[in-house]
Amino acid sequence: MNNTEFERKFITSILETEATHKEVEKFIEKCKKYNLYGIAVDLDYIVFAKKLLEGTSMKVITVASYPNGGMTTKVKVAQIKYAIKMGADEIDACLNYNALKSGRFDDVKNDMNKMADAAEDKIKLIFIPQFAILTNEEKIKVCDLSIRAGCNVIKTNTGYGYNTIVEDILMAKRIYGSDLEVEASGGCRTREQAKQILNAGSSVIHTSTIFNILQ
Amino acid sequence: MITKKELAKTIDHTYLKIQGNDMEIKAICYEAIYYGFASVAVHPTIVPLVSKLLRDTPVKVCAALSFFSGRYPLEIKLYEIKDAISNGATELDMVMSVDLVKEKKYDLLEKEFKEFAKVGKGLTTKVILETCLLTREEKIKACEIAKSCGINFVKTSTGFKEGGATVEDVMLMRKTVGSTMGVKASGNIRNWNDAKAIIEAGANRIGTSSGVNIMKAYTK
Repeated sequence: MNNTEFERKFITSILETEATHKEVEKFIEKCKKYNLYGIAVDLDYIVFAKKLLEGTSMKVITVASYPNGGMTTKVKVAQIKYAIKMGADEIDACLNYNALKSGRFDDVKNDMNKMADAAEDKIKLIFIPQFAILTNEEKIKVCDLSIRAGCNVIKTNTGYGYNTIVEDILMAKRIYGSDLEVEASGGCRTREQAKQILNAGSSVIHTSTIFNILQ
Repeated sequence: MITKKELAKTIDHTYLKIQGNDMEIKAICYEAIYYGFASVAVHPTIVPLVSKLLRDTPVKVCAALSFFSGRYPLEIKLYEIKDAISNGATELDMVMSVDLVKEKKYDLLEKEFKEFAKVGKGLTTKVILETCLLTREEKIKACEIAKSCGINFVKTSTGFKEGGATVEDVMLMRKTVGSTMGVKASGNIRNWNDAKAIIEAGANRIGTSSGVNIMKAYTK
């Protein structure tokens, strides 16, 4: 894989609580030196980011109920609709982890279905199962539910200390193959780690230490 | 010095674990009823269950809103608050838009707080400053605006960042808002010594997941 193709495997983000327009602009301008897949910003910065990324092929990604997954279905649906209205290309949505860990799989499924309905084909919806807090059984269950809800892209974790292990990617790809696209997030800090994760079958990697890895 | 009963009434029994499960939530609610805590504070998805478990008890249902970055368009923030209220939340802890403070857009911050106060009328509204991200001037300004908009409490932190409540911040917030408005301290309050210092600094509410330990370690 050449440099440009390698860069295309990465997504980075600027989701800090205190990030100002100036800081977001500075960050995005720095990102534009590379051929990244995309940049994740909060809902209220979608339009701003789209403008800054005009003329590039970089996607604008946003998030729903991030990173705790504590928001109700109704509110996540509202966020998805808002993201569509603002023109985001993709939205990474946290799931109802409380329901998942409590074994209430119908609730998890209903939450996923409503989000998938809201996304329709107007935005690429990615579910975040948060593998780092799940048993292997739960990981498979949530992937199953996701595919049945019509969403065949998952992002392993939110990051924020929840790190991805290569074994999880290998397991998901072994079981679901091309039926499930797996994005990796959390703990990828070096080129070496990135290569391992990509070799395991991950389609793209989310990382905050993007400039470290690519320079 | 605060009595044990009074101490209990300052505690918002907080459960914000991402991997939380129903069994633990039931235990948390039982603890809150047993000790006489002010409220149980949870994510919005958990408000319906907590509301059911705390029915007909004096323990209130507290929702963690705009969590934890506070970065949502106003319409989404208000929608989330209304949704939590409809599910039974009567205490509303909302993270403020810190970026508005950083960009000195205080008119927009005031609008946010006014709308929050309106939606939360008759209930208990708390604005979370996330003090570890703010300068002294910004903390003062946010408190002043919260007070002028009729918000019930200013609160230090979400507990999800490096910094939590400090005695210094609580003293500053109490000094700024005066003696009648609520000051809630949260983040890094892990034991009775922490709680004692924070209450003496002027907090009349504390958000902690260590409520049971604090009550057990209480001494006059």
